[in-house]
Amino acid sequence: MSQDSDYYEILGVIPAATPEVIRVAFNSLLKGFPKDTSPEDPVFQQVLQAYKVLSNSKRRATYDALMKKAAASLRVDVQASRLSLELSETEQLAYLLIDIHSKAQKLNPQTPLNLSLVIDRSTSMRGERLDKVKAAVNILMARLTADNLLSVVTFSDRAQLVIPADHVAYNIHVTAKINSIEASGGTEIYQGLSAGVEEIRQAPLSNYMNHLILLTDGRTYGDSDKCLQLAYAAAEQGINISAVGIGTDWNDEFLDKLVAPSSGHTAFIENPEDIINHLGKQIKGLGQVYAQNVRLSLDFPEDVTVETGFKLTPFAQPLTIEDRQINLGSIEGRAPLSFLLELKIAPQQRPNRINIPLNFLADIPSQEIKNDLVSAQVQFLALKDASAASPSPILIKAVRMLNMYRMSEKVQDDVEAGKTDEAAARMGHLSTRLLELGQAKLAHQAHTETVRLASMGSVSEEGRKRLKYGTRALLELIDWDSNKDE
Amino acid sequence: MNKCSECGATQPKGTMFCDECGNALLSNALLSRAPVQREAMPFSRGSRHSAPLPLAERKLSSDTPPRTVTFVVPGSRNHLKIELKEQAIIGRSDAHSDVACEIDLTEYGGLEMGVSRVHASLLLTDQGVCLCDLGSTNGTLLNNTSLAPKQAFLLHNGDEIHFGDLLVHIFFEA
Repeated sequence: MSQDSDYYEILGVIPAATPEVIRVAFNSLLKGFPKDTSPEDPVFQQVLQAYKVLSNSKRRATYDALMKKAAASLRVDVQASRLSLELSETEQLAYLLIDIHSKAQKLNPQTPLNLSLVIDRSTSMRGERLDKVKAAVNILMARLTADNLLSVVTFSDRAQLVIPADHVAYNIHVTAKINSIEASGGTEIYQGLSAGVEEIRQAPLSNYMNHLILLTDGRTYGDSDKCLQLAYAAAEQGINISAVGIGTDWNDEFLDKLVAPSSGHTAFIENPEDIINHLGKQIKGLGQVYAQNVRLSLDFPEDVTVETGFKLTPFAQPLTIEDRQINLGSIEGRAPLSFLLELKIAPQQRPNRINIPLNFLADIPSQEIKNDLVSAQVQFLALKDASAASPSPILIKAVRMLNMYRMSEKVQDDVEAGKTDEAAARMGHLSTRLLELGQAKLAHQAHTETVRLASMGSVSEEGRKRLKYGTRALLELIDWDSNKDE
Repeated sequence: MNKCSECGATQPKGTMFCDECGNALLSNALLSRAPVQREAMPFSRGSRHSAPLPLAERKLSSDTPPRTVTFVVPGSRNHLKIELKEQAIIGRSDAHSDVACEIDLTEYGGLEMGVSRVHASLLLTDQGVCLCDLGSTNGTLLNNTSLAPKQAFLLHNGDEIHFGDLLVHIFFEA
């Protein structure tokens, strides 16, 4: 059976057509052929084949099941920085750029959202920050249709349920409730998080795309381990978490960990003006989720270890490498889920062939498919006369940008280890590299921090976050689509 | 192990960018195939180039002292530096070139980016350094404005020039 011919389309009927309709459609098609049509005519053969399958209820059921599977599956494309390895007594590196796409011809009606917004209302949120968050919630509610579920939770030292989980109904009462949110008190993220997760759990989870968005501008004390445990438990249940850090005082390391179990996104929003846009974009993406809980099983050969994983699309985010797998999050619509892996390969002293299986599992809610398996494979050859590597332009760009991000993270490691001179030197290098890329603003920030490191031995919190999230965002700037075919 | 040509750090084979200093450990030919997207540089001031210099003032002055001109190709560590005396041809050398060019853009991916063998020239005049497109196939842009061929335009420090698709920044030593 060829994959691109749909028997229903050939007969010109809908997939729900009754046997009677199919028979009538077939007969009228037959009449359309000239009398002298050869029985070998390919179009005639196609029509005949379609009818043969669809007119028999057993064959039709098998065909329907096959089509559903084919429509649901995903496609994996892999680019490697090199495929031949040198014989060497030392370790070598290789990079893989992997895209996972939906293969479906038509994207099925979207799964509705079950969304909980968990909003920090501690004293520091007072003023523009909270005002913009309220405006964003209002806009979101006006945009979301009634088949989606939404709850709004605020928290300071304790949580408060502003809007319980229910179908979105945007009206004057709801607006009044949102607008009455006032800032006061401390920041206990666990309070808000558990109330938000609880609201999401009110609905039958398998019918929805379950997502919690945490908006905060501060640090939580003493309850971070509880938060992380909750995030893992939620991810197990299919509840994804992402986070928005507003201003410069929030704990980026903690929020990155919090979103890791479901491979969610952490955003750094410096200017409250950007909150509305960011949330709008994020919810639009969530509304288009095609596959979720995508994960790569790490059944790699002994010689190969994953050093770093970094997601590039739908948003840039470092990946957490767990024991046996890497969680990759969701595929939004037609856009691929792309990520970069840095592999360390053990010394190869003899000619060798290393097969790396890439086995992905994913859930496709609109097709009610759990644990759909899609696989690809990469083969490295260790040879005496290895040919020179020729990575694709897009792979070079991705690795280059990733390198910037890692340099900014290493500066932080140096600072924490008390190696101020190394940190200053590295920050200086980063500034130069950013300037070479034409990133004048980031380069300037790096330069300012270099001077600060040299004179005061520290980096400003604001500068650190700007560089960390600024260099991450460089990966989002790459024009992925236009370069894929080069 | 590979050694970074810039900071000397040893890196495992297969490393593409130095872990320590960010230097590209790839060949220029590979790098030029992956040009980076750029934010406008602070010194690129849009279409800020002057009208072509009148013929009378375009005369090459042999008594003007030579100027050091540096070409910076974004994404490449190898800057091109020349002492400009009177005139220098910008282009790309290959087996079929009949004119030797002083500023050879081959190693920056000139062929792939559409640089002509004889693309443009730099002229040293008493007004300053001028750029003149020599009727190249893919044209020359100065600060994103296309240059009429065979006319000289005055250059400023930090100007952005596209030879075909190849972007170059030009700097003069003070």
